[in-house]
Amino acid sequence: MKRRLLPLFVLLLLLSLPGWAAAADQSVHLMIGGQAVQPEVPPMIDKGRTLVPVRVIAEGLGASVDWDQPTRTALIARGQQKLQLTVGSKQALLNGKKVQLDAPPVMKNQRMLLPLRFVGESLGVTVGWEESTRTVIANETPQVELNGQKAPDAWKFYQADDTYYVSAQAVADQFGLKNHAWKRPERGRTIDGQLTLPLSQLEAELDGTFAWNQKKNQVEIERLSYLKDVVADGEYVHIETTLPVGAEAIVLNGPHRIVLDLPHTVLDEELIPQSYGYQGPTDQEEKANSDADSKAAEDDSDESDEPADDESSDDEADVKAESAKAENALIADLRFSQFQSSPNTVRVVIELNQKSKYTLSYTEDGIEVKLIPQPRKTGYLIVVDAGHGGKDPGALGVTGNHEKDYTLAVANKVVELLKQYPEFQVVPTRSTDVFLELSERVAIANDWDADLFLSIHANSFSNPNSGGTESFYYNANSKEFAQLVHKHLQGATQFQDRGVKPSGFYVIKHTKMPAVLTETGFLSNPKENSKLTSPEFQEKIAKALVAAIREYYQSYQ
Amino acid sequence: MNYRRRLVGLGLFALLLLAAGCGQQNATPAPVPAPEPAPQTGAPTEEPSGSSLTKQTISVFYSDNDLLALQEEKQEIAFADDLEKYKKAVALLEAPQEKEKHFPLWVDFKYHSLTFEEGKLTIDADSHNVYNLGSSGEIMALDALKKTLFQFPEVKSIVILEDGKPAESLMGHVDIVEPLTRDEVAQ
Repeated sequence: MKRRLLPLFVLLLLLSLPGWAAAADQSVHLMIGGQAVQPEVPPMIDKGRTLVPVRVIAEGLGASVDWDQPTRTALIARGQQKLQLTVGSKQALLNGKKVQLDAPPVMKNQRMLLPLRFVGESLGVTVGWEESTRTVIANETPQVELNGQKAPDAWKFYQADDTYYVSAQAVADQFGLKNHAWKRPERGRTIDGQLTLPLSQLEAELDGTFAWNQKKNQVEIERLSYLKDVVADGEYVHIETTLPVGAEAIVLNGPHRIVLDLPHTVLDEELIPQSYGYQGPTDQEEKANSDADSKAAEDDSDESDEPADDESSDDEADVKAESAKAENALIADLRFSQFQSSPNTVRVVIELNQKSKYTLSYTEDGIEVKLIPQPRKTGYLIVVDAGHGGKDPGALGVTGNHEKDYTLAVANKVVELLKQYPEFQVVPTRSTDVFLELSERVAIANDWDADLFLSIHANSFSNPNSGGTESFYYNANSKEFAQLVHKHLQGATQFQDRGVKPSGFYVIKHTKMPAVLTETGFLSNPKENSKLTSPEFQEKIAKALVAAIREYYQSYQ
Repeated sequence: MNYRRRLVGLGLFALLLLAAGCGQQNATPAPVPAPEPAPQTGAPTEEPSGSSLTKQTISVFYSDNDLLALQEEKQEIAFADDLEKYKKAVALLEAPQEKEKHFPLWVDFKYHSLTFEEGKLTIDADSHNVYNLGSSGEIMALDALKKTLFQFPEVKSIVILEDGKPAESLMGHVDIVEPLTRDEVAQ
């Protein structure tokens, strides 16, 4: 019993290895032009390439084949395409040009076997492999029209009986429907590892019409979505379309905008008069530009250039009216236009008063955009960065203390002290013992559009005698701030003055505002460490840093 | 019976290994999963008593006594191949000869592996290392590493990983996401 099982196991394993599959003589089926074909010499697979008799190619693909016995060369012609293949040679001539084959033609039972995919694709024929039935499918490549225009080349059409199967996701991608969940994938075939669905099934799942015009040998697909409306609703924007479409979104600044491009979509007739650029496009553009300028210049000013009676006089422009209603609304403006006609693309622009992130969700009725407004800057914004934290303890002090605790203690005191000034808005990168990547610290400062960045550190070295206070800056806009910070800090520590130095530490290099990194003193120096760990001394340091920020604010802002 | 079952199992295992090999025809040979011992310490390793060792005097860099400037020391190393040369150079970063004047910027530096391929030297550092340096120390430590390894003309870049993965920073001040290159070595 066991002994009989063993060879079976081995055989199964052999079969599962792609390289060895050729060794196992397994039959391969052929479907050419939708019809099952059984050649006298069965097709064989060599190194993953299917080889079929010349005759199959000639008859199945409608090509003419001439055989030159002395040179053992086949000349294959189909339409304008001419292909020359020689037995045993990996080099072929396609319309006179040398091309390289993966698998050379071979002789078997006195018949020449040719690599089907190579020959087929060279002659403009679509070739696919259905693993589940071990079938090679080859058929003419049909003309494809999508909404009256040429369809993308990535679409593959395979013919089985009278049905055309199309690479389903490639079609869905065209309508922006990424990772589309197909309702009836079992009605399709997996060819070349991709799900293909019959045209009728695509029509059932995506709407529109997917039809094969047999007379013209042309596949005709009509699937145009109409934009019905764009409606703002609090922190949501509803983009209503007649058919589901996905959108490519980009984010722009100055003013903040989210731009969505809807593929294969046109404006509903009723929307055309409201579209951006319609009726006296110059006037509209100028107005839009001045809107943008004024918003960028005076962030919190009301939109005085919006006519107050806009709402009552122009019912149709409800979108504009809505945004004009509340001057503090998140959404400043909604615009849409027929952005492109080849292919038809509608562009929707959501203009925002406040930087926002967003998520898109797709519904039967279109796209729902959820806006996630980012915190708004209200004052002179200072980001206080306590160095290290969490899994990164920083340097080790001589009494076993950690740098991350020192930096957090001082940073928290600085934050509390700064909060007493109403003109300051204070954002700590961390207020607890957590780890932050350097890039996260920078992102906090840059996303907030901070005015100052102060990173607090303590130093360490293998020589316990080394000591002193030093401050670093990198960008030219940070030098004055660094000098002020250092003056106050060194004045408070009274440690050796190691000076102000330029150095490209990540957090001061990649922040856009004036940014300084300070090393208060050396945790490896017993004298300095005992001071650095004392809460009174930490308070003194915090006050010195705040004094530096105050002086900088009063002198330079 | 039991014995045979074991044989079947063995056969299957062998086939699976073969299968794994076949799947990677065009890739470079899969790295032999050599049992990696505990992370190597930086301490100089004892030289094998072979006679084919190459001797070379190299420059190794340390800090001065106050973390202000790099100091160069000439030391002799003996090695069987280039990889051993790099490992010995890295190990010497911890061991200045003039202990009064020169202070190592790398102490107890452990790494899982040091590999070299097409000009790129990759050091996979142990994430548990405690470097105990501030910002200026970190920059000097990386400069010492660069100057020590870039003296070998074949080394074009240095990649530092942590536990096999890219890391943003070793000590929390300088980013090491991009490979270290020759052009940014402070003179």
